[in-house]
Amino acid sequence: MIQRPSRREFIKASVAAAAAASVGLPGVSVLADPGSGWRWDKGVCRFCGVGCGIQIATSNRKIVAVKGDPDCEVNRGLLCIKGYANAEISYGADRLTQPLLRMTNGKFDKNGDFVAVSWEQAFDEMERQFKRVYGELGPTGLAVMGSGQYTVQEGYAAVKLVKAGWRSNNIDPNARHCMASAVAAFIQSFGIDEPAGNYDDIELTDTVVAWGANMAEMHPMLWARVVDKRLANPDYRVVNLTTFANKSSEMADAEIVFKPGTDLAIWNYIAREIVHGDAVDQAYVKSHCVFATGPYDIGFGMRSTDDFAFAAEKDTQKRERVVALTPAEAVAQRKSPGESVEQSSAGSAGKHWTITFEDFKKALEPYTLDFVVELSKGDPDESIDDYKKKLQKLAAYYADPKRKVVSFWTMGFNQHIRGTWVNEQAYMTHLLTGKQAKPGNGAFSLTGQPSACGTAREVGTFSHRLPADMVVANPKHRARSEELWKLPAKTLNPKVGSHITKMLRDLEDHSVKWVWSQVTNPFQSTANANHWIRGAEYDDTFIVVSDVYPTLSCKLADLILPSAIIFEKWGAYGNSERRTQVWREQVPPPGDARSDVWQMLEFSKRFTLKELWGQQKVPGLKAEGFEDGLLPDVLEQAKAMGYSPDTTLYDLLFNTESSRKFPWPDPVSNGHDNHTVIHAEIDWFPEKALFEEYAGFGRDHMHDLADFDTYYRDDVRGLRWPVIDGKETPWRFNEKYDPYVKKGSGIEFYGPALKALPKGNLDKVTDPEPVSLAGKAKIFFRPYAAPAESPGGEYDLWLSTGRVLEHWHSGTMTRRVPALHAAVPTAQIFMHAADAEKRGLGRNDLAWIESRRGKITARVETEGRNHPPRGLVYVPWFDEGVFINRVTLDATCPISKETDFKKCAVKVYKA
Amino acid sequence: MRICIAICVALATVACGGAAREEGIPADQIGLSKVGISDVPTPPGVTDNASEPGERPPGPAAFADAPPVVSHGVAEFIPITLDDNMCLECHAVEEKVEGEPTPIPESHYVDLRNQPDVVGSEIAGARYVCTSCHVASTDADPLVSNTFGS
Repeated sequence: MIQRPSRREFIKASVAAAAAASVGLPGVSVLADPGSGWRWDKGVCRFCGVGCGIQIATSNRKIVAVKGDPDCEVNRGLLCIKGYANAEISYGADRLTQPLLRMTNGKFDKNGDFVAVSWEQAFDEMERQFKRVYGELGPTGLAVMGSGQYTVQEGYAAVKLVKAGWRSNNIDPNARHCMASAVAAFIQSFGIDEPAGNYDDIELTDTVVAWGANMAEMHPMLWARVVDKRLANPDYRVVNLTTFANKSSEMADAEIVFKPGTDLAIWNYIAREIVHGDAVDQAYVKSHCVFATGPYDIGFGMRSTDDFAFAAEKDTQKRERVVALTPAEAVAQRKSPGESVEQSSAGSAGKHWTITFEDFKKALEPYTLDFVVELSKGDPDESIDDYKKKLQKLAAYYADPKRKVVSFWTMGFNQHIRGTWVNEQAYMTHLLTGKQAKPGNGAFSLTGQPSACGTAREVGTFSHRLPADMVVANPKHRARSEELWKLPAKTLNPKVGSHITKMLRDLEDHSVKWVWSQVTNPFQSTANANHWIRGAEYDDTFIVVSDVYPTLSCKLADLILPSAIIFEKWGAYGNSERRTQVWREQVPPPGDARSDVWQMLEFSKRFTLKELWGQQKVPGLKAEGFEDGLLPDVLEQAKAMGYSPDTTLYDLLFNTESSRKFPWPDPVSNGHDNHTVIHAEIDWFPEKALFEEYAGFGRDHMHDLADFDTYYRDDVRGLRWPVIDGKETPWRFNEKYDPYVKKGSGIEFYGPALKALPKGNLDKVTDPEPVSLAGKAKIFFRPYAAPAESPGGEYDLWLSTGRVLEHWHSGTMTRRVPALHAAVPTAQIFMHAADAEKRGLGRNDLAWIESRRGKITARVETEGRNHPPRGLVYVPWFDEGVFINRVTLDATCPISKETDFKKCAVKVYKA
Repeated sequence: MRICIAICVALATVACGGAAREEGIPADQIGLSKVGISDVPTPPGVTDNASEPGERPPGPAAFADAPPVVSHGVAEFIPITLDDNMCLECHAVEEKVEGEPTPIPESHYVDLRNQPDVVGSEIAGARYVCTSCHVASTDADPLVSNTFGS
């Protein structure tokens, strides 16, 4: 055994005085070392949905170091390489520091070069263009592309501005591309969003099953916790289900490589085993669950018209209307082989009804081991026998009543043409076995972005949502929001707006002409990109991009607005385990860069109620109490409420009496600045006011947040909501831990949404009278369905896309950090050596990768971290120079509208 | 339709003394890839650092206690698996000896989640996957300089 020096000696020997705190004395907050002159303050990582707590050191108005916060339960002092990069991400030499407007001869010109202008000039043009488009098209003519990387406050300000001010529902986040399927499945299964469990489930479980989630690279500090447990406990089991061998396979007990899209079948095999093997937790199911199903003929979220399709993609696009079932689909869906099915339920894809357990069992019948093995085995070079044994073992883990199981998933399930279904199947299996909403036992949807939960989902920055799980289509929800926002009745627009992919389709088909993109890079991140580039280039569209660095979307912008990056502003993020964490401004933004909150406050001054609250046309609007296609004039009622037609949106939405109740300076600042306040020249605290106002929606409504100041306490490292009387809720729906659960019920799925359903059989509703399912969760039967586009003919390979450890999303921050860029300088085509050789390609060769929609070049990698089976290639999307979304397909889950970035057909050939 | 404007037009804009305060930046100069939106740039070839351990000096770390970049090639030493961690075989030593592998620091032997007051005799399980923090490198030059630390 190696003798280690005592802890005291180790601390003495540390290189930098500040390093003393890096070992972490729990329960003690990190103090500045007076000798070094550094100030440390807590914060949260800018990157993935793990939400690691960090400590940020500043000196002379610069960030000088970052370390993992030992007091944060999420990561206990550890960070992955991107976490450390938080120190460097703001220092790329090409930070945007001035507004840039395309001009010629001193005037806006869409064909001009980018010229530096003042904020005033920038907003002048932005306002002029907005009013032109609003005058022509009304609230549906604009689109705000928001983000799961917005702070809570930014998202809330945006929702208010767009929905209450402009009466538009065209605000949707990039989280649509990330978590929408997870959200839809939560709402459908449980009636409320977000996981029941928390990260402690990792330590409490016996089994971790990762499905289409390369946790080793994408949630590294959670993987560290899994690995920690696995190394210490020989009975702990880790299984990696994936379409290609990856880094998560390296630390797993079993790797199961399956064919893209066949996860749907594998879940049904597991459920069938549970049902036939008598492993159903009868008491749990009887008390807490019902069975349900919905239509299968729901299309793929593509346009229903081929008017805009490129010639080569028309055959794929046709499948939106009619699908010729494959033999496997016919078996899986209890239909005839070769049957052609009209996708008639594409417009009502989310519809569902309850069924009997007998029907549920009957639907599972076709999913025998042999059927599913033949359909799903993804590696042609793996023996059927080996693969079979793995599936059997996996099913046994789920079925074993003595084995606790946590299922994790991220984009493999969510970015899926049946993403909502496959998420629901995870709940199906866990609910059948009673392994849900219990410590160490649960299906846990991992979130990709740092605040898709905290901001996009909880605040409601979606085309169909309002804060705290409310929706625009529900008159009671609109009424509550109008009350809290002090708006006249019928200000809010009941018609669901455009989701992010639809916004880009709207841009292409001239329905949207004014776009404001905030904290996202939509033209790089949206599939089938060649279409959207067209739309951005029309003479009468106006694209505004607020960002920190010049991005690919900036190339297409008409106006670029320089924005403050994370630690240059106050903010809050909410991670995958419902933990809301906060930070203070640490350093000032450079040049004329301004916080997104400032931008929205300032721009809102440009609008008066009379310009927006008269009658507005909303094509297709049909709601009770509204004239078809119209939002009513609410100016009279506004006057009665004390507003004037000349009241600005700024005064209506932001500079309110309640906002000004939060003065600046505020003791919580601890001497830190607030450049939103400085630039706005105000004496109140917008980030606190926005937070508290937003929190008002969720308190006593199952989404309770603590008050702002509590999160800033020195001994707090975020809190998992609902926070009731200062106490977090680690497991929701479980009486032992969740104060919202009815006493005596043990488990109660109290989510209110979609909890009255008609009854039916496997094919349709048979008794339309809605029956209450209060307190229950739904176990869905969902069938296998083939992807929108599969390899065949000329396009003979699967293309899957995703990330790598070192780079975040579109690479705009990480590619400017020297060590991260040097580690992975370009996006490669990960490819099996045999597939490469067959095409005359070797490692590092330049190849075209081409689909029906577009083509780009990239270098081939046959020996990298990802080892696809023959027949599949993987290309990460972080590289602006390897613009893989030109190639991908914008098919979505028809329920969630989330794009399937993991499955389309390509060919690869020498360049 | 968007056209890339030549530099001379941008200069003319400035010369006209309009609201422009400086030369215009053409769209193809925006972003990390200095190409027009319709262009398909040729990605550079990648040369992994394939040096032997000890051939190059220890990798840089951006600031004190940031994880240093791995100074040598990693292809022969990965993957790290449940049974096999070649990083540890060389680096789990007590003292730094000239020309010998850099020791893993004491901090990595502390299990901050379960026993934060104890310096253990083995690498903390949560630290086992070295490559989550210690990245390899290639010969790629920075795309944009970074002023951190200056």
